[in-house]
Amino acid sequence: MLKAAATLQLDLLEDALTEGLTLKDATPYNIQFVGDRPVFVDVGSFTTYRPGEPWIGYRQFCRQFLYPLMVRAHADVPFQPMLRGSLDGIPAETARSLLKGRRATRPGVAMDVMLQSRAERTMSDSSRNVRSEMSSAGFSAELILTNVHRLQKVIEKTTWDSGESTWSEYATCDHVATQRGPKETFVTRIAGLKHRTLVWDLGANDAHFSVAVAALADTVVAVDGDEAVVDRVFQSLSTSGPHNVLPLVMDLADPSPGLGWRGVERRRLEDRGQPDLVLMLAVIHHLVIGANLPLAAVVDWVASLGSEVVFEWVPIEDPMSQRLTANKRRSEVHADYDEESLRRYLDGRFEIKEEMPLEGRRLFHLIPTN
Amino acid sequence: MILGYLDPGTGSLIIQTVLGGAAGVAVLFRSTRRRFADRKSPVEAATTEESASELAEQEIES
Repeated sequence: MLKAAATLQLDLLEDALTEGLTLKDATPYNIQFVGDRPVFVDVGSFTTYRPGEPWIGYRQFCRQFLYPLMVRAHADVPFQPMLRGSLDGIPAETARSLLKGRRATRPGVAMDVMLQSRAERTMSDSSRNVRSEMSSAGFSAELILTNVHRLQKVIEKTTWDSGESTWSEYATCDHVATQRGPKETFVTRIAGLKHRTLVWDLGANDAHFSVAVAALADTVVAVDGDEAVVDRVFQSLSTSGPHNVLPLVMDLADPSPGLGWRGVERRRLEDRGQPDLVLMLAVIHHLVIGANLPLAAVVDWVASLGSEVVFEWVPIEDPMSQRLTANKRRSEVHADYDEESLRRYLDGRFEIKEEMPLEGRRLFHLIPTN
Repeated sequence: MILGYLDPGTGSLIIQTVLGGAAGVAVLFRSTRRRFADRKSPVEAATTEESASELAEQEIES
């Protein structure tokens, strides 16, 4: 998705320059996804190009688009934790450390990483008015266009092969294959009770249920912590739709917080939208057993969303729960991870509108009580 | 809304000449040549500074 956003950013800059305009910055936060389609949302970034000016956003483009894509593709390092840790992106010096040696021969690394890192280091305490010097020496929009065309090729060649991950083959598990039919019937029936504006599918894996409810909603946000799975979902949605499903990489036990100045420049997940339906299918055991969060706290968080919920209870005896407890003593798993406690925590927060047993598991349709 | 201005980075600006292809290298060459040409000997620099001071004083008086 970052690659699609980078391509859009460069294409827009190219078009702007040919119209006598430029973009005064280059941040991925100016590009939002409507489903799988990147959309540039900051009209204020367009400004008149002043002859002789270099591309002011080049450094930012490198830090927030190019280096993250390069370290993912060439060093196999996930960029999400780095972008979440620093709103300004990855510094050239850090990118250089990760892309040394043989990786330096990959497209763009020598010029955009190594050369830039060196130039930044050398010029860090310079007081020269470089913009003025370049302008009087004849710098022009054509030079920016040459650089943009080169970067378009670099981005095109910077490809990450996601390969297999822990959860990329989840859909082929026996229990998934047998349970998906009845689960899908339940989920689509509940989702279809009324028109849904925004559905969140938390722990979406291959977004099977996001796709299943897509026709019943304006937008579906499919959240999963496995980057490889989400990348595949994005590729699939881009080619064959549905185009109102937005896949997001996010660990629900450690979701993106508010970022930037006073934590309000970039909003946390809960502040980005108000879902009218939340799907929490086969995810509770990951949060309570896997991430060791108290069951009551998870129920409380779900209730705080103020949404209808389709919730799947996965008991401790379930083979998938057993996988998560394989290296845990019983005392290391929350003692209240049982259906009786779940019902106690739901009581007062939700009305159980409907429930359905499913091979030892249980599906609930929950309506918030306040 | 948070409004901020970018730090374009001096080094990042300069390398855009190189990344602009042959025409960019020509810009870098012209820019470098100008910087060297603009460097004056200490006597020339002092004379220029004196002239500038005199000019400034004249402007204040007028």
